[in-house]
Amino acid sequence: MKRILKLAALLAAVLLVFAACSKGADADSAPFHIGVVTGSVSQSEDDLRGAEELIKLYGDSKTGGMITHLTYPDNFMDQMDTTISQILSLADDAKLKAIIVNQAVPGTAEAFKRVREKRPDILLFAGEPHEDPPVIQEVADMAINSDFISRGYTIIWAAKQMGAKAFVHISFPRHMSYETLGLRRLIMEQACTDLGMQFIFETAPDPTSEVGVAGAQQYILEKMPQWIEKYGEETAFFCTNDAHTEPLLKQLFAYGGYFVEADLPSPLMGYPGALGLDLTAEAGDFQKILKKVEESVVAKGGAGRFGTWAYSYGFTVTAGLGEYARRILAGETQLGDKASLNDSFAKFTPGAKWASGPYVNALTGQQASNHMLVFMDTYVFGQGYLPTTAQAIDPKYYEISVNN
Amino acid sequence: MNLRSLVVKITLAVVYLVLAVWAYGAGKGYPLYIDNTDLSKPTMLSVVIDGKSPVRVREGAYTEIMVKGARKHTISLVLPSGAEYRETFRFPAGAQAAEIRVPELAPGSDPVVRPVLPRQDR
Amino acid sequence: MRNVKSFVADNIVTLIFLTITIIAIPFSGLSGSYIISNLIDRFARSSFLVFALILPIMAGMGINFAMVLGATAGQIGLIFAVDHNIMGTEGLILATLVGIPLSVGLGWFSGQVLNRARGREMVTGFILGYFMDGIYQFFGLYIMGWLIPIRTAQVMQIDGGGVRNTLALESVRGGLDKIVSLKVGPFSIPVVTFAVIAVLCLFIIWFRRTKLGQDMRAIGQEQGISHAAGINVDRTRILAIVISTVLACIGQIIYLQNLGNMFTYTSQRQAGYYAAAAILVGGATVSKASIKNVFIGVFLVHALYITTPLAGKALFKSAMVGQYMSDFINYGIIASALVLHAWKNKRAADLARAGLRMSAEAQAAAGGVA
Repeated sequence: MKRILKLAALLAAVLLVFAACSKGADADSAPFHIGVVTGSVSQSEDDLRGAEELIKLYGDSKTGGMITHLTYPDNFMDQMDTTISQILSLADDAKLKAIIVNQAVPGTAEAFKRVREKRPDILLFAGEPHEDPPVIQEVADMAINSDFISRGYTIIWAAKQMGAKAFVHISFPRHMSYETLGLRRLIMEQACTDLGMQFIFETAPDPTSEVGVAGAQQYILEKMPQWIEKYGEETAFFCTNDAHTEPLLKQLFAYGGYFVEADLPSPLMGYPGALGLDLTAEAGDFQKILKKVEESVVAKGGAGRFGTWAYSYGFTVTAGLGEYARRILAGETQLGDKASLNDSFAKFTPGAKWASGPYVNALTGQQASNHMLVFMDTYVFGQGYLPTTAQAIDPKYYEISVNN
Repeated sequence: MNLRSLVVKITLAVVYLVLAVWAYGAGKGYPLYIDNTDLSKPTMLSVVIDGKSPVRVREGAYTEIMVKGARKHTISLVLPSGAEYRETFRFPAGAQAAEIRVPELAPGSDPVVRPVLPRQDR
Repeated sequence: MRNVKSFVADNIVTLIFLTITIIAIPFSGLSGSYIISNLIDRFARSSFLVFALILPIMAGMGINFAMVLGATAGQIGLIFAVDHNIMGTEGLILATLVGIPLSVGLGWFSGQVLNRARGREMVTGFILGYFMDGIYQFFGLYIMGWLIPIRTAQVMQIDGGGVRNTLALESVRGGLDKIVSLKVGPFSIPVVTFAVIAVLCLFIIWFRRTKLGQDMRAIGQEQGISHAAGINVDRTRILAIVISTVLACIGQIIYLQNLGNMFTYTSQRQAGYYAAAAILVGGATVSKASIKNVFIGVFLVHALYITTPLAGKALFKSAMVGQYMSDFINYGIIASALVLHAWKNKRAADLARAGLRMSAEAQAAAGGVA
């Protein structure tokens, strides 16, 4: 018993000493700090590059700038504890006035609730929330999803334009239990029926399970030749997980087949790895990256068969939400100003066409003013833009819900 | 097995069951809908039920709040102006869900609570 | 000098982690009040689970990795409470009432298995955890929604079959922590949770003194002699596992009501890991553990979890590397605690042998004349 007391006393003393020190050493000039939480390079590289872009623009809070960057663990499905305490640790900085989590993995809503309890003054933004829309809408000041409803139709439409006759949707139970992804799958199935294509659902291992990223990728590498053999070369493939994208592309180049765009599209999503490209020189410059990837895709005979968004979705959401938060905090705009939000996104995507709209609850018809759905035109390598954002989408797709 | 240990075992089982039944009854949650869809008097407000964290009710919205047990509850309303008032109401016994209309909530009078059918969505 | 040396050797695991923590704190740049309030929170959340490990260690069965079975039972109880819309404290009580019979059954089952795997209890328990994973998924994804109807849309998978992957526990969130929350300066202390933990401590102290507790300790020392002394070894070992499993069930419910979110099919997996790390860092060995070890361990392990990601970030100038470092430390704790434990065992054996040799030599010297 004595030892506990001794240890506790020692640790408490140490805590106090350092608490005193760390407070005193604050000598930065930024009027406020913005916390950015993203995945790591192996989970979602683009999100992280977006945070680096923000640091490039506004400086690291450690050296007098604005941005504090943290990452959530790779196996976030096992370590919700860590995700929550990482986000919560940001609220320890009294100058921190906004937190951006992209992607908002499970646990974000709980962390936001705790931040709110402690620091109601902090702006909370969630990019690509994994938790169900009503859950995140309740706690976040702004949430951004890629438009899973419209894209459920436009991806199928684009696949048909590119020449595909069948559509293979690769996913696994965890993703299908997300309302956003599960709903999009249903919409895709409906769109395939309407456009006269065959819809196939294939299951692949979850990279956050025991097999890990490597095992999940190996599975795709081994299965793809069989799938292409089975469904024919005029088949478009789509996967809901980032880690599956690279091996999928690799095998599509080798065995034929179509790829409209990734779940979270970007020229950096899967392509550099599948094509063996080194893009370090172009890092952050998406026009150059797109050009280099395109040359390589065309050289491999992939012209007209492979698509993407011209700019990275993950990168833009991290950077765009950061910019939006900075503008609000600097008093240049206020929370809820849609024009300024669009403008913040456009800052990182010159020349691209975005479509955006509020999230509508399919059951109640209510619009959520703090949840936006966005998407971009699909860029087909060796062919140019497909006007997906200009497509009129039958309202019936918006009424599809998971409960009927 | 002698009689005494049998009696003790039966008593334990009964206590266990009684506790379970009590927890089930007292803890059962019922949806209470706050109907703020009447736009003739649009107000945004925060609703606090039984001292829990406040729930924002936008103008034109139909908001669901879960309340624990079919018994007496307190509801306090916080208007954007900062004005706050508190009422008590009894959740209608036997009802699956109930609704309160914001325009019918006036300071000083008991809130009108109507039993309704629960919505079939989330 | 000798004393200091043997103190260090005896507490090497704890001291190493204490040192890492003391180094990590200033690098993390976190304020003392943040660390302390987070420690209070984590302490309330996870110490109950760690206590579940004490009895099997006492009974000489090592770390009960099969406590995952109890955690699973707790989760099934919570699924039931949430699905039936039972809120708050009552919801947690109901979840516990549902979980306890399940965990008694599962504990009895794993006790039987572990009795047939004498001497390899830890690895067997570990694999039992994986085995349970399969059964649980079968239950959650197939039996639920088919044999047992799911009543609430939030609990159901989007395609209508089985329980959702992430379950929001909003209705029972804080059902224990928030009954009485004492504000002390910037910290809020969940009084009832701590009271529950205190009661558990008293229970363990009391239990050690009962006949059953004495039997367990005797078995932990030497099974053969205990058997000869008329103790029913098999039954006592099973009881140790059953109690541990029930405690794990309650512990997991306490843990999840604090987190407010449950990954239906993965939350239980971590229970064994984290608890084992905590109790080992606290200075327990796979053959000896006390309440003190739990307190020190939970304290140190969580101080590390809080500080290492940020300390790593500050040291390596990269958020990602910081995260990796903290992962590395999390799992490294368990590995190094086990390695150090083996080293300590060897040292104890060496000491004993040296003592034996010395006394033999002394005897030889004394008897040499004759």
